[in-house]
Amino acid sequence: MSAHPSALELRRLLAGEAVGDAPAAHLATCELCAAKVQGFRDEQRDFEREVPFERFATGVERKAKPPVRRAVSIGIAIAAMFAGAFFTQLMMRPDPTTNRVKGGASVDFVVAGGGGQRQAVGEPEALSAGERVRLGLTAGVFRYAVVVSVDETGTVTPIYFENTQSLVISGTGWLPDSLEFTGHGLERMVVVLSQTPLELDAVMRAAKTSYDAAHGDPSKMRELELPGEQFQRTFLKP
Amino acid sequence: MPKPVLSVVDGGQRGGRAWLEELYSKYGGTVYSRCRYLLKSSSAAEDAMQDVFAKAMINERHFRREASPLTWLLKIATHHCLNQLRGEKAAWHDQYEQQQVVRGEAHGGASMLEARDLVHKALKAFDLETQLAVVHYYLDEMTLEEVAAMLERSVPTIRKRLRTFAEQTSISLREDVGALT
Repeated sequence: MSAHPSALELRRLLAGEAVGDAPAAHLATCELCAAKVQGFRDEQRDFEREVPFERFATGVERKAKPPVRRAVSIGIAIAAMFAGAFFTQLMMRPDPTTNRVKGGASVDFVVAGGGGQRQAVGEPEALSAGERVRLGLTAGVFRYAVVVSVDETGTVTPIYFENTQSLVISGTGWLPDSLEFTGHGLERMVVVLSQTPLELDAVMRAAKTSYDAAHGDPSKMRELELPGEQFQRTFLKP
Repeated sequence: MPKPVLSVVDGGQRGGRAWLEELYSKYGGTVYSRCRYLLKSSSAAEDAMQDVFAKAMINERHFRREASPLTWLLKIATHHCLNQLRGEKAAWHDQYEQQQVVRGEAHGGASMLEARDLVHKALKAFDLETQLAVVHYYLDEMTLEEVAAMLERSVPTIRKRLRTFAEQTSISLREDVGALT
C-alpha cells in the first residue's frame, strides 16, 4: 500500500471535509502530495476561469427544476375531451400494444409532441426533444395506483401519489398532466396497481432495490417486490 | 423508551445561491475535471457537471447528510458520464486526436498521466460496473474496500472486476488487489 493519502483523500482535505489528522500531517511533509494538492487548486482556478459562477448557477438551477415537469400548455377541458376521445377509441378498437393484465386493468404509455401521438412500445422508447409522456389507466379490479421513475444514477423520483401513499383510482382515464423528463439517458417508469394503498417510501425502496439488482441499468429492472400488478416502460431521454 | 440525545434535523433553509456558490468553490473544479476526463469535451463536461449539481439540489436533504459530499458528487458524475458515453458509443473511439491535456493528479507525473489515458482508452471494452470500479480505483485511488462500499458490491466482486480489467489491458493494479486472494 502507498504511504501517501489517496487522491480522493487529498481532494476531500482541500474541500474542508473531515478526513482525520493523518492526511494533513502527511501533506505537511510530502512534496509529492503538496504538488498534487497544488494541481487540484490550479484545476479549481482554471474551472472558475472557464465556467463563471453565474453561468454555472443558472444552468444548475434550470436543470434542478423537478425531474419530471408537468406540461401546462393544454387546458384541462381540452385535455379531458382529448382523453375521452382516446379511450373511446381504445374501447372500440383495442390496441395490441396496450399493457393488459388479469382483472381488466391496463396501462397505456402514450407519447405526444411535435410529431403527433403514439403508443410507447420501444424498450427503451426513444423520446425526441419536447416530447411528453402521458399515462392512461384502466383500474379494473384495482383501487390504488402509484407511479415512480428511476434514472441511470439510481435516483428514484415519485411521480403520482397522494400524500405519502398510492392515489385512489377507478374506471378509465388519464392521470393528470403530461410528463417531460429532464436530463439525458434512460428513465424507467414503474406503475404499481394494488387493492390496498402502498406507502410511497416502500415503493421507492423497492424501486432502488430493483435498480441495484439490475446493476445500474434501468432497462433491466425486474418487477418490484410489492403486492399488486405492475407495468414498466423505459424511455431514452433526448 | 428514552429519547435519543441526538437526532437528525433538516438543514434549514433550502438551497439558494449562497449554497450553490459554496458547492461551486469547493467542488466545481473536481466534478468538472472528472466529467472532462470521461467525456473529452468541455461543453459536454459543463453540461454533465450541471446535471450532477442539479441532482445535489434536487436531493438536497440527502446530500447535506452525506459524510463526504465530494465522494457523492464524484460517484454521481462518474456514473452520469459513463452512461452518457454508453449512449454515444462513438465518443470512445474518435476523440483522442482532439483530446485536451489532462493534468496529472497522481504520483508519478508523466507516467501516471499516460496511465490515465490508457485507462480511459481501455474502459470502452467493459461493462458499466467494471468501468465505475476502474475509474474510482485508478483515478480516485480508492482502496478495494472503498470501491466495493461505494458500489454496494462485495470486495471479491470488485477484486474480480479489477483483475479482469488488468489482465485484459495489462494496466497494473496496486498491491491491495494483488495481495488479497
